[in-house]
Amino acid sequence: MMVATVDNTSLTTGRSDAEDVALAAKGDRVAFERVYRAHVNRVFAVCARMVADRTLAEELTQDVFVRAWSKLELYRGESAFTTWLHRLAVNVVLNARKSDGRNRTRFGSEPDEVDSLPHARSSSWTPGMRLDLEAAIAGLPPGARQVFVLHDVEGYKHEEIAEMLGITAGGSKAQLHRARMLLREALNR
Amino acid sequence: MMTHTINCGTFDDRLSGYLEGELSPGEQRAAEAHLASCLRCTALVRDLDAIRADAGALPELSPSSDLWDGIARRIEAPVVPLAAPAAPIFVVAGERRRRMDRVWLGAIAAALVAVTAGVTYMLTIATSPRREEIAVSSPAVVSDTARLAIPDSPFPTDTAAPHDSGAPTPGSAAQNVVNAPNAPTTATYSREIDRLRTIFTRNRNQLDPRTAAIIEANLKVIDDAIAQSRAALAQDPASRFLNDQLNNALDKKLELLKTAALLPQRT
Amino acid sequence: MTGMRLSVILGAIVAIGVLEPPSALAQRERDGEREQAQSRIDTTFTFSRTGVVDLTQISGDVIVTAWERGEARVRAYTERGRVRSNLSSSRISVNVERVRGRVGDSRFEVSVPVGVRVIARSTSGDVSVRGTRGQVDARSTSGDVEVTDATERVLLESVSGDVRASQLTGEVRIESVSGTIEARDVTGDVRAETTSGDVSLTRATSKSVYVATVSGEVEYEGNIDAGGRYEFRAHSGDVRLEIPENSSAQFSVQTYSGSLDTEFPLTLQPGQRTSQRPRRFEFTLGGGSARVTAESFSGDIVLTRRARSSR
Repeated sequence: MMVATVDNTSLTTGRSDAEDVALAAKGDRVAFERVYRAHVNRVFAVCARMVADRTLAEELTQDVFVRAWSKLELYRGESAFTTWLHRLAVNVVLNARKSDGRNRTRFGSEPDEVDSLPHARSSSWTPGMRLDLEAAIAGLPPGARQVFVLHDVEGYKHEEIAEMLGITAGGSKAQLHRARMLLREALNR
Repeated sequence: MMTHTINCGTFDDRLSGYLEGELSPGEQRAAEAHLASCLRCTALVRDLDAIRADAGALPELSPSSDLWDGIARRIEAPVVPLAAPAAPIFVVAGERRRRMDRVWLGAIAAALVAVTAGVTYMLTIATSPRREEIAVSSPAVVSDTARLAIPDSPFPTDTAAPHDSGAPTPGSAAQNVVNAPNAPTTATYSREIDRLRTIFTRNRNQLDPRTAAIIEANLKVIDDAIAQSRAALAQDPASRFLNDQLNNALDKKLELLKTAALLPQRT
Repeated sequence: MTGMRLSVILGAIVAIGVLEPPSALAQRERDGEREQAQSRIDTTFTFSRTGVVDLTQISGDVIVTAWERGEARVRAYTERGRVRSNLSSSRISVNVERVRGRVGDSRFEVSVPVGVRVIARSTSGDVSVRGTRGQVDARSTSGDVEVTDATERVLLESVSGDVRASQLTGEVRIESVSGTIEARDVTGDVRAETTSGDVSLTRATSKSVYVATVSGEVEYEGNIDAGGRYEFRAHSGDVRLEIPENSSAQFSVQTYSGSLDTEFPLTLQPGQRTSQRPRRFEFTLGGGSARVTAESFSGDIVLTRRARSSR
């Protein structure tokens, strides 16, 4: 389900999202901040669910908006702005530096941390745990999780997902099915 | 019309296709027929469908804190255009001040001694602080070449320091100079680089064209390096290491120009 | 070439345009116009192990190798113009004489006794110095610099070429502008800087290391000596350090928008605020006797354990 709202009118300013986007594209940083506030939760949600790591997702969210700022002048309004921003977010997530498999801990931005230990990169899923859907998604293996989030959560089609992830549409379908089956198993415990 | 009945195992195999709506008409009918009489598979389909539907209804999430500051800082970095080969330029946009290590850079400039065409001279530093900062949106050439005396004569010590350049001076290139605390030092490098470049250009046709081309190409490499260091400094102004890198690059440019200037004489 | 040899035996030659050994002049007269087209030196003579070799090329390569003999062999060739040389038992100096227009091909190949100090320069050619086990100062502007087995003071520079070095001891200084720096098996103080190239320092055993690049990446694989000081700086590139499991060092890590990835378990000091930028991490491994500084602006700092087998 993809919400394509073209016109989010801010109640406080009365200015529409489209207007803010247009201003931001010309370099108006104050307008861009309004764009940020209007869309940050949506962007963060995509990032958080795809990488299953809220700390990393916050960093990626920032990356998305920084990127959006520099690419904004290329946005010509052919698609809804939310669609454009969404795609950009998915790209940023997919291109984020991958761990090379070693067992490493990441120190990113931990705003409310003073002297606590760093988080592990992603929560692991242990069979037997009772989980809600959000947590269950986080526990999926990365490939299945990405496809599931893009298809069922965000509403992309298999052809689009295949193109983005560099896999076949058939592969995307297989991953989706696998994800759903794993989720079912996790949720039914 | 015979409906081919299938068992749970076959249904599992086709489940993905069933949910995607990709089964052939015959397979679709068989699947539906199976579901009509199989509790296990009905539950399975219902669960998977619920997951799909719930997923689509998942709410937006909020980051644990306001991320705007981090974003603002990153998009705020001043724009530094690539410098023209002999004209280092800063463009300051926004309120961001650049805190260059003025004293330190000044020391480098003071130590700069050039030997060119057999003439030794000392470069002086203009030590008075810059009185104005002018922000410009397009690069302009700061070139004191027009002011230089004949290349072979001692370097004039009263060559206008940047803070004079606000006033229009005949013969000087458009002096929309920016950049505050390190202006004297950059101007010093800039003058010397201009001077050597003039010599190189003059002697160029006496050099092997291939060698001359390689020197030009490497001057460009160094210019790119200078631009990179400047851009990096724009993001991280207090970095001593980046100051080092910038000065290294400027030194290398001088060194290469000196080498080039001396080539005909040396051989 | 007999005349040249004779001059060497007698002592220093001065072979400038003004004064020429008689037989070289005779040679020129015999060859007529060919003298302008080519110039070659090929001479072998006694040379001291404490001697100095100074070679300056413009467009050609400079290749120096070493042997155990107490002799030097100088082979130099230039397609146009002349090779100018100053040869004695303690000093070799070779460069290319000025020629109008095209220089053409040129090459210096010199073999020297082990231990000799070498200065080798080219503007567009490659510079290679191998096995001298002595001081080396090798620079090129656009060519590559390749040096193996050098000691005491090693200075390697290129502007757009790469610098590749191995088996270096003593005080090592390597600089490039856009090229890559690769140094392997380095013992002694090392300083390696480039602007846009990567720097890779591997199998390093050093008490003092300074590596800096602006947009390239830094890779260090080596020891952390108790009491040593190690500084790694990048602006947009990553800094990757691969160090022994039992390293004992105090770490000062900073990155503005990158992150710290570590295989070493570590505890942040109390009161450390990681929410501000730049992100600063101060921590200690082992007894904390060495000091390691690793900073990048937008790149990551990555700390990994060196596998035992690589040593």
